[in-house]
Amino acid sequence: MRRAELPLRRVPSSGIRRSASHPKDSQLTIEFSQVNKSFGGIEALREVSLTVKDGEFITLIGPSGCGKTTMLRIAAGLEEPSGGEVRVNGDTPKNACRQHQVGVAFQRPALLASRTALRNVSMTLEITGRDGALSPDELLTDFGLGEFHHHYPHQLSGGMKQRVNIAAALVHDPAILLLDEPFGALDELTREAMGEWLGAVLSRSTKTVIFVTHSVEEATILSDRVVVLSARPGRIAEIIEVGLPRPRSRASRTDEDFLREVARVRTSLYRAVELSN
Amino acid sequence: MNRITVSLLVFAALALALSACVAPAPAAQEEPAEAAPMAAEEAGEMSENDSEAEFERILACVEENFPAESYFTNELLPAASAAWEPMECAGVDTIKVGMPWVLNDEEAPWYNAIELGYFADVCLEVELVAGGPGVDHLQTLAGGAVDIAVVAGGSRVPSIVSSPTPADVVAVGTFLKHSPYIWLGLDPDTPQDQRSDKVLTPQDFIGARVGIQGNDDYLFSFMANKYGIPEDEVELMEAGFTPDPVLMGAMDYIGAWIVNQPRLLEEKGFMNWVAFRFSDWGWDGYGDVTVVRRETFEENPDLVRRFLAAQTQGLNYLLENPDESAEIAVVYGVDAQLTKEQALRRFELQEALVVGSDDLPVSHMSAERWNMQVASMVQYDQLQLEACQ
Amino acid sequence: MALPGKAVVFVDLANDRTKRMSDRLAYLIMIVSVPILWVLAKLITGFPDFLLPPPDMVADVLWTERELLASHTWTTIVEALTGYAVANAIAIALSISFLYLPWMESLALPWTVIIKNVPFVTIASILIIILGDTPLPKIIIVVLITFFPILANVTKGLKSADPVLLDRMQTLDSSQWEVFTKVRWPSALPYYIAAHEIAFTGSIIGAVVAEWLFARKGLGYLIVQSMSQYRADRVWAVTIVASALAVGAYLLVKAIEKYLFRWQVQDLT
Ligand SMILES: Nc1ncnc2c1ncn2[C@@H]1O[C@H](COP(=O)(O)OP(=O)(O)OP(=O)(O)O)[C@@H](O)[C@H]1O
Ligand SMILES: [Mg+2]
Repeated sequence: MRRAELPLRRVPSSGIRRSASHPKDSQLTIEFSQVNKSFGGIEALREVSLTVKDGEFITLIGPSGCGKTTMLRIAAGLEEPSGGEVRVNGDTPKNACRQHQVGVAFQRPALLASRTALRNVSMTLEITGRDGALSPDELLTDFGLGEFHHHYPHQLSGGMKQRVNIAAALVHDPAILLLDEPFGALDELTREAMGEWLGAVLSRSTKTVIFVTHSVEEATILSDRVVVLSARPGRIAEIIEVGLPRPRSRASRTDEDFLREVARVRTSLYRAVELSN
Repeated sequence: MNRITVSLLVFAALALALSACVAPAPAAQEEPAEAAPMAAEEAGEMSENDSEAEFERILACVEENFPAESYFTNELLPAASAAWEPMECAGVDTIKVGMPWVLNDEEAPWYNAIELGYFADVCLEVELVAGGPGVDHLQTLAGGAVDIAVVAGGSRVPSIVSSPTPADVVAVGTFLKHSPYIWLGLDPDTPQDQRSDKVLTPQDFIGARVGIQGNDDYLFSFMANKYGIPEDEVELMEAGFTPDPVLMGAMDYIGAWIVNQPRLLEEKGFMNWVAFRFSDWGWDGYGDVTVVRRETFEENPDLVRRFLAAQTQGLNYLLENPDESAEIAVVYGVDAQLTKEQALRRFELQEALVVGSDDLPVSHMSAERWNMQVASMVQYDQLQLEACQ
Repeated sequence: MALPGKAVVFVDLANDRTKRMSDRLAYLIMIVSVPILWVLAKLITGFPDFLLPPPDMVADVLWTERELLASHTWTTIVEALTGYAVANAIAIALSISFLYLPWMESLALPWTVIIKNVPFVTIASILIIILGDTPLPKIIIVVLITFFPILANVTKGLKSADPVLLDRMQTLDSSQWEVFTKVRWPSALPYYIAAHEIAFTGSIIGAVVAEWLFARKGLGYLIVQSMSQYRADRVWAVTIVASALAVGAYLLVKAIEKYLFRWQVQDLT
């Protein structure tokens, strides 16, 4: 695997940084404390408290409309909480963005139609004025888009576009990555492959990730912890530690442990859905 | 893609070439303008003789190549001695007649003919179609929208007949035997309540602001060519049909008719008006000329004859009964709020133009006058006759 | 994953090629058929020369009076282009102010609607009385005619920027200037080009009409003058020049569009 040979940024000497059990000394990165959010009469989030540790991969899962996107947007400083607060590295989300610590990718790729894949990725660097460990060129090649640097978004498949989108979100090496259903619009098979790809890409980094998905399998295979939300108002129903060793691969999808963890998350999700109704 | 680019380049090159042509064009236009004042100033007499000789040459050429008889006739006009007798009507012909101006008191002869039943007497039902700025009834006549046109500037008739895209029309009678066209202003050296005896010359317009109506700039162009007035040293402006801009000081002169606007100034208390009469300076065409299509003239001369008879009867009535005519005119002249006194003043001013200085009966025209006018127009570039350039 | 992407583009491109061919063919057919239709129209209607002169006569005028036509055309082009440039500047400035100062939009919108819909002949007549035969009234009329489609389109285009992209820009802490140049303006560009298709040709018609009302130079004046000299052949020659100018303007916009959006049809082979 060519990808495995490429050193990605800040990879510790151990090779694999992530583990199911977190190092005790890890400092908090993103902290939601008593966050409320209402849109007019609609209460989107109520009393949400969550601490995301440095380097942790957190997945938000829950019924549609439970406030996952809203949580991400608050963490990215795109939305102000109505009550409570969110701190990112001890600072406001806006300031964290100002220091270019946050990379964001949404379900719909945020790409400019008139820029090639490469120029879409390098636009992040133009704006932030920062360089990542890998150049946009190297990053796209690393993401398996070697031949497509000079293709325009309309010439790329959905999965390719999403890879470019994620590349654009992390090319400047932010410590935090917020991903809102990046594979939501893809077919089942592509989605699985992309999930695996993302796991591989991120397993080599020390990024703190908040990931939103509707797929229990995806959540289970990628996360250190899965946060299950219930809807109306959006609250944290349960936080599940995924007890699976890393690295995880496609093979582990048929693994018994994996199926057990999936069942655990699914049960919790069902409960949350019931709670919402 | 490439071929598109190439054709674009070709287009751009064409546009450039087009713009390059611009350079010689103004130069070519300036030449006569510069040459003319020189000629006028340096050797006045010589050039006058020259231009007279030139005029004689052109006149001879016009008489030979474009004689007035090819576009005018008096033969359908009623005999001067004829007594008025209503006809027996088997049927009534309905016709549309284009008027020379908006409906004011200028059209008094035709109002008379309607009001006093002259048209009905000759089995005609006549609808008067108003003219005015922007309406050229010579064109609506040629196109067929009207059956007969009364054309304010008679000189337009040889213009349309001799055009490369001609309309075959015939002038069959005239109301005014001399051009009433003037440039009207106020004389600052004469008190308002006194009449001015100032005589304007073409040179007086250099540096002046002159308002003219839509299509009339051929009149200016003629004078400018004839007297060497550089065209860009007269500031031409768009004028309406009242002399108000002159009163307000927005313009120094305004294109007008001697029979119309001066009386309006007088009425406002400005007796010190002063007029540059085009007929005194070489532009003397007939005014309010009745014109028909040649096809009408040839196929239905009787209709034209009847129309002219009634028109002439209305005209004679105007000359003999100005008072009654004025009363009729203020009723029919719906486009202008005129008083009877104003109409009477017009009739007074216009009588000399109607009767004329020739020995011909009213409405009659002469080939000699037509030919001279055409020759002037050819000489000063207002009419193109290939044979006579 | 790679193959379908390529195939899609390839099909697109093929379509575009045939389309371009047929486009060109259509213009060729038009150019050829105009004189034919012309002659037919003359035969059928029996219009005399002073209404509809034969095409060869008009072609003759186009050639023999080319210098005259060129100099008046130039005047019209200058007026149209100047007015159009001013219209663009005003419209774009207004659209941008609408984007950042929404109250400006509420304030200005009724005015722009009124200005657009007042019969411009009224305004033109007044302008001509005040300003006389100067280029200014013509330029103002061109501005009045052309600025609204640009304003409407650019305003819409600037607002059409993808909110996802705007969010991305915000999380990257980009400056307003960067948001504008990298996201807003590129999003507005297709709308802006679409506005040119209408407005640029309109600028020429606007200038001609303004000259037609009152001027001593330009194609509009030439129409008036030729009509008053009963030169139908020249009137039609001017008409052809003006139409050719408008078509040229349209094709120019199309070519620029094709150039700016060439990435949409880029050949991948
Ligand atoms: N801009 C907004 N204005 C009004 N209401 C909003 C807005 N954004 C979100 N909401 C409301 O907040 C609630 C949570 O929305 P949110 O998009 O966070 O849900 P979600 O969990 O991401 O749902 P999904 O899984 O369908 O994406 C919903 O009820 C939604 O209607
Ligand atoms: Mg969502």
